[in-house]
Amino acid sequence: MTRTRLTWMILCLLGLASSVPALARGTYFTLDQIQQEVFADTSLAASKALWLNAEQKQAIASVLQHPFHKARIKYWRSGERNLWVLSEIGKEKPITFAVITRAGVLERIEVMAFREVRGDEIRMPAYTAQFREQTLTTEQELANSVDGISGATYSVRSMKKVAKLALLLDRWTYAGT
Amino acid sequence: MSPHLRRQIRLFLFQWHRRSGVAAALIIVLVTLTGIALNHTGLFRLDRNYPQSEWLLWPYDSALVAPEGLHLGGQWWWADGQQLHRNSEALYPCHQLLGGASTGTEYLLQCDGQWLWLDASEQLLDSLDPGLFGLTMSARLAASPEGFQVYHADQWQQLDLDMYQLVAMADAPASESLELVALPDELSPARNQSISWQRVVLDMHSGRWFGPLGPWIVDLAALVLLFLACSGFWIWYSRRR
Repeated sequence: MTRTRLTWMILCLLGLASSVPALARGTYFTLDQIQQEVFADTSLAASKALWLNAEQKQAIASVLQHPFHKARIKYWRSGERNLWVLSEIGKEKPITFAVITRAGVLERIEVMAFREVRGDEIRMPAYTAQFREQTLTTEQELANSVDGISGATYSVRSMKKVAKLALLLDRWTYAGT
Repeated sequence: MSPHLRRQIRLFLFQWHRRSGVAAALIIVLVTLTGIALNHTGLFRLDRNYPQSEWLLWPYDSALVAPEGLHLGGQWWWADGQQLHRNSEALYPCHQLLGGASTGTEYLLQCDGQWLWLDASEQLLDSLDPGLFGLTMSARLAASPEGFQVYHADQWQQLDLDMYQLVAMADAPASESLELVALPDELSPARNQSISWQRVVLDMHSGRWFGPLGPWIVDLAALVLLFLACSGFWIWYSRRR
């Protein structure tokens, strides 16, 4: 192999490596897309809002481990299935998740928009599969353990918080609060 | 080398060792202290604090931008890099305010990262990710008593915040989102929100803070320090022999 060819290969590899962080960012689902995937007939999905009282905001703050200010949370419901669109800060920027719950059980979680430079491994199906059939314990923790990902610690933490939050919100929709 | 010549050199070096040491002392003290501070940027939180003293900020006049905000509903709305403020009251996390609109009873404020929807009592009703609607963070906004409008796909559309959808409009809105303008002096929290202590200390360390000649003076001080090390060694070594 000539020296020139080797130099070009190294430069190409360096260029590829430098572009990897930028590839992490992206919008993977729009609201319409996720609704169409989740609900067989989107026209039957009712757009709802959960209005929160001070006690509920406190409970959410406890799950998220930071103050929570919003007065309402939007969700969509069809039958017993709820679709939640929730955002939580990863390391520096918010990650938007779609979480599907049904009667206190987490059915599916997806990353809709990822804005950090790295850590998007959490959107891989092999990883999100760990959240299927998760429930919330009385201590507001996920019933089954979830593995971490080296280099995506903050993203993993956000995903776990959002999964717990969605299950908590789901519980409130059934409690009628 | 003869003992006489060695003594002469030692005397010469000794005299200049003292003189140059005194001459460079001030700069060496400055470079030493700033160097230690830079080595512990995190500990001293130099990257998170911003000096406000006029005399410290004199080299950065052109880089400092006057704080800007929106005058909506008779109130000033602005962000300080961390929080959204209404007049002097800090309300919710907001890194940077890009724009906003008011219906008279509700506000939609475009923060970098999310849009904040507030009611008349400044309660945060919801935060929206404009990307979910296919909108950019700084999309053109307008407001009327009926609600908020957004310019998308070459036309104005009604932003339905209950159904989370865009609805086509027949007419363009009467007024668009306001431009950011300079905050009044009484609300300007701090003149400097961009030049951190880390930058100031680094510029002092390199000499850039002192103007165009500064780096050359620091370079000279570094050469003097080198001379001090060499002359000190020579004085010690020649006496030892």
